[in-house]
Amino acid sequence: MTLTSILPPLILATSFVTGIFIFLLDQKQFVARATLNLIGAGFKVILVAILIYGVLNGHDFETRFHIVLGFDFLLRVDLLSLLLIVLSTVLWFVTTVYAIGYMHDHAELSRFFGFFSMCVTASVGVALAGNLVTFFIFYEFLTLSTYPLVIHKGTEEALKAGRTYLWYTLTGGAVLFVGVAWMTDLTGPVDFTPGGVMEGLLDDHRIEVYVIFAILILSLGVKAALVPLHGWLPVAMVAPAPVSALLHAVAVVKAGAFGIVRVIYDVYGVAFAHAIGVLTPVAVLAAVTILYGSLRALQQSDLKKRLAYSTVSQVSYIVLGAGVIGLISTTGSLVHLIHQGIMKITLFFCAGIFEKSFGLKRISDLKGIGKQAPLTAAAFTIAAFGMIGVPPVAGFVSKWYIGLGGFDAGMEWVPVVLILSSLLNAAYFLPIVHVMWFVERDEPAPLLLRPRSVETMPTMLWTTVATAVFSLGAGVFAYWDFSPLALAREIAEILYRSA
Amino acid sequence: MALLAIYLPFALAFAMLWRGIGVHARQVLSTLSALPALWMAMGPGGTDSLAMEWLFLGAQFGLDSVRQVFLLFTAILWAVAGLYAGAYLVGHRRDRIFFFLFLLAFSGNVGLILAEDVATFYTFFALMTFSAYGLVVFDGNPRAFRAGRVYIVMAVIGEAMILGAIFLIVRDAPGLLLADLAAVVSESPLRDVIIALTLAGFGVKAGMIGLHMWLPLAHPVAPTPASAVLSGAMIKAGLLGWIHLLPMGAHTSEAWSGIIITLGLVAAFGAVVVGVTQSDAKTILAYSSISQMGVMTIALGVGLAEPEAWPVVLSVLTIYAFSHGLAKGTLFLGVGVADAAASRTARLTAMAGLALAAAAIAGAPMTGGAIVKKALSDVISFAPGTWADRLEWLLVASAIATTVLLGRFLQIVDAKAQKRAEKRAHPSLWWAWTFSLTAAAIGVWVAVPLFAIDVPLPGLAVADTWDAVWPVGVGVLLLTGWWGVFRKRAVHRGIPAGDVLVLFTGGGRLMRRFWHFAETAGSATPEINFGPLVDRVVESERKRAAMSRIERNLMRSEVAGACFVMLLVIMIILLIQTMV
Repeated sequence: MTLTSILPPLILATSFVTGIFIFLLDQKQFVARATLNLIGAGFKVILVAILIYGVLNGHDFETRFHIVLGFDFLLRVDLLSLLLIVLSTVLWFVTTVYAIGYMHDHAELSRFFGFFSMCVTASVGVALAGNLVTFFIFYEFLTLSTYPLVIHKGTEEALKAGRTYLWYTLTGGAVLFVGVAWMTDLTGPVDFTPGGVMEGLLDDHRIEVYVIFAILILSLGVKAALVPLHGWLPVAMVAPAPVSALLHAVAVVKAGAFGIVRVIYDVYGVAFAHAIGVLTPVAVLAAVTILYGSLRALQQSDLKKRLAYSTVSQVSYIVLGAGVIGLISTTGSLVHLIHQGIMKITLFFCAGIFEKSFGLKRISDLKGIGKQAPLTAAAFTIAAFGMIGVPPVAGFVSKWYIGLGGFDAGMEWVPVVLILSSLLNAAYFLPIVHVMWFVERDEPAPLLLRPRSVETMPTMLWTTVATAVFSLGAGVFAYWDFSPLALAREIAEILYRSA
Repeated sequence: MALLAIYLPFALAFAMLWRGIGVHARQVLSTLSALPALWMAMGPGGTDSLAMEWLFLGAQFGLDSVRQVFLLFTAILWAVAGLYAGAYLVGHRRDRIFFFLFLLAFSGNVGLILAEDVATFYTFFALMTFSAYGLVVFDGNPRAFRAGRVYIVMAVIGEAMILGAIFLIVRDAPGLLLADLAAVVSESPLRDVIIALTLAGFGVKAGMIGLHMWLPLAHPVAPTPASAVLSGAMIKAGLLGWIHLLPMGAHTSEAWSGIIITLGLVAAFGAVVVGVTQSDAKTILAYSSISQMGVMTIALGVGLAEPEAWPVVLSVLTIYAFSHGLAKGTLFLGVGVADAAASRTARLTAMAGLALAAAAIAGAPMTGGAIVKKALSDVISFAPGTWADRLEWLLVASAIATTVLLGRFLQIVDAKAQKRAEKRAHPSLWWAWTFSLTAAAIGVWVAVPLFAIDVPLPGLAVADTWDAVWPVGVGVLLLTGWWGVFRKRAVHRGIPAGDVLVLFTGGGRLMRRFWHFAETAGSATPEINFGPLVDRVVESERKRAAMSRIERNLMRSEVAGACFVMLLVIMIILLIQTMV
């Protein structure tokens, strides 16, 4: 066993083992739980740093062992997985810090943080998976580990949302399994390969190639919340704010979107998928989702609900970019994986602060909150502008690339959709910004937390500010050599070089 | 220096939020923040571009002679407006916020002038647009909120159109440098779409007719120093956008030229017609800005018809913008000064200054306005076809119209200033205005030789002077006559500010009804959700009974045992298979 084969499972273990130990803790052991959490998250950050160093120096990290029926359990680090790993690791760390503050007065904290760790293990597993079978295992593990988080509050509404969540994701998982099994039946067990593995099958199994693609994309589309499979997402926002943040930014929807990216680039191969004409339907589906999600967001008066619909819309940018052939749009798609994550997590963090500190959930209640919680409101403003696509916040860079990529592929409607979506995003985000800063409040909103905190607890506040700064920095320094954009471009080049 | 010019206002914007300093410290800092920009504008020019590949999408900053003129009047206006704002906001409890937004918008305005690549330009344009929203709604009353809503809706639509145009251009461009884009546009297969999008997108900011509705609403409700920069400086950002993104000097299009000239003419005269019916001084000024931007639009149209003449037209256009920007800023600031006049002398002084600035815009002799109007009528001869002759006298007519409009403005300000202010204004109000007025009076005389602009400075020849005198004279006569006839009548209801906006608000309401927005519908509208559907099927009594029967049976020990053994056998078989 060399370091290169031991590192990937080790990275998974940091959160998995942490989770198991946390399960064993008593509710009252706040300090121990927080310490364990932070040690786990910290360790993971260090290991991922080593991993990045290794990958940059040309080492291949791969862990493979056989399971039944000739399947391999394969963990492998390529640049694409690195993208999601970095996102998960950093945002897990941030969200953990945030959640320690946010959840302090909740019941069943050991259960909560235990599953929280499991959830991150699963999402890193999704990133590390080197073939469809391994991907599927972690994908389902993700479903199961997030369910307890969604229903954490235990209220009637939460349980109902949990049911809906399970119906959707388990059905999606079952269908995905059929797709994976069917494909494996045709190709035998194969690893993810840039350029794809399906090309040889076209002559003998033409129909199957199409049907399997549809099955894979649609089943993954459940978690990626493609319309009309998105019904679970707005309901699931009853979960506590850190969970929503994680669900919307890193874990569940990202797993779906990431899966779609994997299928298009590493199973079918983008050139092949384009050649057989299956990409355009994906792009169209994504475009419909983008517009539909935004239109629905307009109708929501509850902040978290509006954010949830915004996620429906924004995650589909990733799918749209993946569904448009060309280096530029792929870059946009991949970079949006990161950008959407940091911007959306900021927005949910802010929503959590408004709810926790002031008990405000409805948008109209946020009147003048900018005066009482200036940093939170500023963070929200930055992220909201990013979502609209106002430069120089990160969201603009994604839109820029996907839009220009649309031209490159000869799909002129792509930038049109993006611009329409920007208008709609402005229509539902700018009123919030306006209400927060410019409408006067009759009397200050009572602070529900201990009086010594200014606008909220420091752990929550500074994590929120940090993610907002990330969102801004990712855009402002987009052309810096170590920006998310640079990484995304590197990956896109690899994906197309082989094609 | 370029970075400092942008960064200093930006950084100081955040310093403004500090509670530890008073309004006068903010005033001084705000004024000082314009110094680097002023320095650059007055400097030798033609400095090397500063490329920062790592910043944003590869940012590049620099300054050419045209943008140097833009930078000069912009910096002057913001500097005096900042000084003025300190006096204007004494005792206002939210002056921190005002200065914060004010300086953010300023840094956006400087940034977009210094930007040499399209992404950076667009970024600073957006920074300016969105911070200016805060200035428009600053007073926080329903009128300001309405104006703000109109402003932001139109501005966002404008931004979207600009982005569309930029997408179309960049698709074919070798890079993002603004200087290369005109050629790209002229070659583009979608040239007409690009031109339309650019025209409309920046037209929102430039107050192009049809997209001008926000100006008469927003300019009056904003605090006076903000109106001054909105109407004097920020409006010119739209013009600069046109200059950058339209295929100027690279392409001839008589059709577009005709359209643009026509739009300009409609603005030049239409805005005056609506403007004279207004009863609020700042609203009239907003309409006057629309009208003057219309005149500049005409020149733009001429430039689009004759690529060879473009450099000449451009320099005239630039100096015209310079002249109008300073004078219009001075007029806006002067409204506040006249309002604050506590004595007869103060009032008369203020009115005299206002009259001087108004004369400059109308083009009375010896003012900067006369020089730029003369220069403009010279380049008009490049206009295509029969336009040239018509435009010459239309320009004269426009000068007459402007005189009438601004005369009306002076009357209204004077009438209002009769009622004396109770308290004397802070002296810096007067200082700021004096600076501004001086700049407006001598600006063109200084700028033309300073930037070596190819525009003749008039001698004292009688003929030249006469050309400038008579339109203004006719305007004054017309106004006097009109005033004599209508003064006795009761004040009639003018056209509501924003004129054609009425046509659109109905549409907005309709859309709102069609798609229930949050405020009207709440979040009760149902969603596609298969969850409850499945629940209903699964939970139906019959199915449940059947299920529980099956489950009961499965739990009987013999069944469970048999199943267990069966599964075990299958597993073993599978395992053996894989071993082999």
